[in-house]
Amino acid sequence: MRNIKTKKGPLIRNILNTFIFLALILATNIESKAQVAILASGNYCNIRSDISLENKESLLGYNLGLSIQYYPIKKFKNVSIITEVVYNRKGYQQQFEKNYQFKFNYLSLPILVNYSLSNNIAMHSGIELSTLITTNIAKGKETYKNFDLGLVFGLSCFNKKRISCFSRITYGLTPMLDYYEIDDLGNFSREIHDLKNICLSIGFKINIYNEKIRLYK
Amino acid sequence: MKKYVYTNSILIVLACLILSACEGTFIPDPIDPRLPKYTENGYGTAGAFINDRIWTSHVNYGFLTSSDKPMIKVWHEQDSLRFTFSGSIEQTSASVEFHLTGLGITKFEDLIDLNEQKISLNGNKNIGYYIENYSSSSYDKKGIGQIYFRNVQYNNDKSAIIISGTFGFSLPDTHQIPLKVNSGRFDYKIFKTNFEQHDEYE
Repeated sequence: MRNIKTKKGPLIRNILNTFIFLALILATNIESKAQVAILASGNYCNIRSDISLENKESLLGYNLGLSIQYYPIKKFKNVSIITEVVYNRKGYQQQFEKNYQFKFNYLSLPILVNYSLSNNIAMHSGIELSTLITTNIAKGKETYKNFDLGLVFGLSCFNKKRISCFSRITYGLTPMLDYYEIDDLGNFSREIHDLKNICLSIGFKINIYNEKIRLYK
Repeated sequence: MKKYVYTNSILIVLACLILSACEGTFIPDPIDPRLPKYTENGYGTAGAFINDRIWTSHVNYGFLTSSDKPMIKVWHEQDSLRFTFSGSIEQTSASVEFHLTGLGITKFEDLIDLNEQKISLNGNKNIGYYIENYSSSSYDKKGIGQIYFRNVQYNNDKSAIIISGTFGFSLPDTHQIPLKVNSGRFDYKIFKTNFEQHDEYE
């Protein structure tokens, strides 16, 4: 397992610079009807657990993917479905004498219902199905479950522009770990099914297809 | 004759020194990554808390020389089955050792009988030792606690026996303050051929 201490300061500064740059682009953007987009975001991830994980801290990750938005019901023009395919890095870290980072790289398929509150603001909610592709932990795919399911809640802005931004929380529902609680003497006191992902993502989408995809005539 | 006396003096009936050809696989425990995860695959690792310090099966040979190769010694002496898990603590060589009496295990195949045995270390017939900076008095401190062979099984091709389990014991320190060996776990592969190497000692 690699134990590299994260340098948060420069990273956060870079993210802020990126968002200022994007905000300037958004302000001068032309309207589009793009419904296919590529997306990228930064993730602020951690783990929820019933058992006590000592010195647990958040870890920064990222998303990269493709998003398709379509309009299934003529009556409800404000309602659309967003399906994404995302390479998704989540994880957490524990700080002892050394820093132990747990990085999980998922291929995720969020399926979201999007509701436009106005021309510029929309909210979305849905589920995210993920499969674990790789991890930095030795035999990590044997230790952690390869499937993850999460609830997604989020907001997006400037959806009709060429570049839009979004923020969302992914709240893991399924435990990542099946293991044992072992006491000091070595007795196996109980099985544990624990560790659930939680992740805040802030990112942007670049629309690459400028026609509305309607599933009705 | 001297050779025989030497052999007799150390009373080794069966001995094996296992230096596996492959490196041990340290999988961090998902709850406390300083320790290896409890596994049952013969990954060749062990670890425990020694009070607040961490002992692992990572072996230090000397200055700038170390190895993750699993190093376990198993031998039978009189009626006692003995295990030594070699490792280190804070760059210092240290080992955890168990002397278990009356189990009737005298050969490789008998090791399988350890499966699911939870053995109480009473400091008399069954003893746990923690040896850091070996000295003649290292065996004076007799650990009381438990060793649990939770899973002992043949590997897939039956060429080795995988012993996996946990341990925990406490022993008096020099100032009679208990030294606690907590949350210990091990997962080793023992080969039959390694038992045959004991002939070299006789």
